Amino acid sequence: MDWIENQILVEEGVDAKLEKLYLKVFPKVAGFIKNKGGNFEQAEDIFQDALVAYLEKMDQVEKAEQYVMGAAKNLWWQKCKQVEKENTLLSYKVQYTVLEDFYPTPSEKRILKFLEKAGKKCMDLLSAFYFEEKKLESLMKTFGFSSKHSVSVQKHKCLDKVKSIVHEKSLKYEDFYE
Amino acid sequence: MKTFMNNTGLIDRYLNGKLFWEEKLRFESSLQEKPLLKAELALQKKTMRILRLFSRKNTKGEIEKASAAFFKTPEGIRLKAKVKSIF
Repeated sequence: MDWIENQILVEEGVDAKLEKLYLKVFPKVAGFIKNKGGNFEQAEDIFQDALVAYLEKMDQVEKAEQYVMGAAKNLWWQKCKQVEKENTLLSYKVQYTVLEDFYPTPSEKRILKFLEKAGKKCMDLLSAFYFEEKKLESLMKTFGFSSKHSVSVQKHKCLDKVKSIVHEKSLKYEDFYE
Repeated sequence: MKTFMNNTGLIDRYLNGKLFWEEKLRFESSLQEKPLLKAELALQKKTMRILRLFSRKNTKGEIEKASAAFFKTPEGIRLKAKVKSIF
C-alpha cells in the first residue's frame, strides 16, 4: 500500500510542504547531528524519522519546521540513549513527550518481524483502518471485499488474530511486559 | 484463554472513545473487579502499539523512497551536496 502516495502526496500542497521541510530543516538537523558527533547517514535517518513523527501529528501541528526540528533532537537522544539533558531538550520535552516511545523495544521488533510474515494482510488492513483512517468503503475496494460488513467482520477477526499472536509472543519475550 | 480474549470489540470501542457514557462507566468499574479484563485491556493496548509501529515502519519506507527521488532532482542534488559539506 502506498501510504504517502495515497494519503500525502496527492493532497494539494502537502508534497510541497515535505520538500520545503527538507530544504529548510534538513540542514539544521544535520548541523545538530554533526555537533553531537554523528554522520550524514545518521542525520538523514533521524530527519526522516522526524518526518514520520510529523506526518502522524500533522493535523495538530501549527509550526511544522519547529516541530520537525524538535522531533529530530528528541529522536536523536532516544537513539543514543543519552541521559544528558540540554536546555533545548528540556524545552521540547513537554511538547514532544509523545515521541518518548517512538522506537520499538527489542521484543517489539521481534513481534513485528513475526507479524510481518505471519499476519501481513491483517496488519495492512488494521493499519489502514486505525492509522490511515481509511473508511470502510475505501478498504472494501483496496482489499477486495464484497461489502462494508465483510470488511468490518474481517477487521474484528484480524484484531483478534493479531492480539492472540502478541499475547503468545509476549510470553516468550520478557521485556514486553516490563 | 477464551474468557481472557473475548472482549476485543468492547475494548476496541473503549480505546477509541466509542462507548456511551454509561457503558464507559460500567467498563471502568468492571476493570476494578476483573483482573482478567484489566490484563486483556493491557494486551490490547500493546497490540495497538505494535500496529502503530508497523504503520510507522511503512511510512518510513515511503519517506525513504520519496527522499531518494527528491535527491535525484537538481534541487535535491544541491541540497545533498550542501548538507554533506557540513560533515
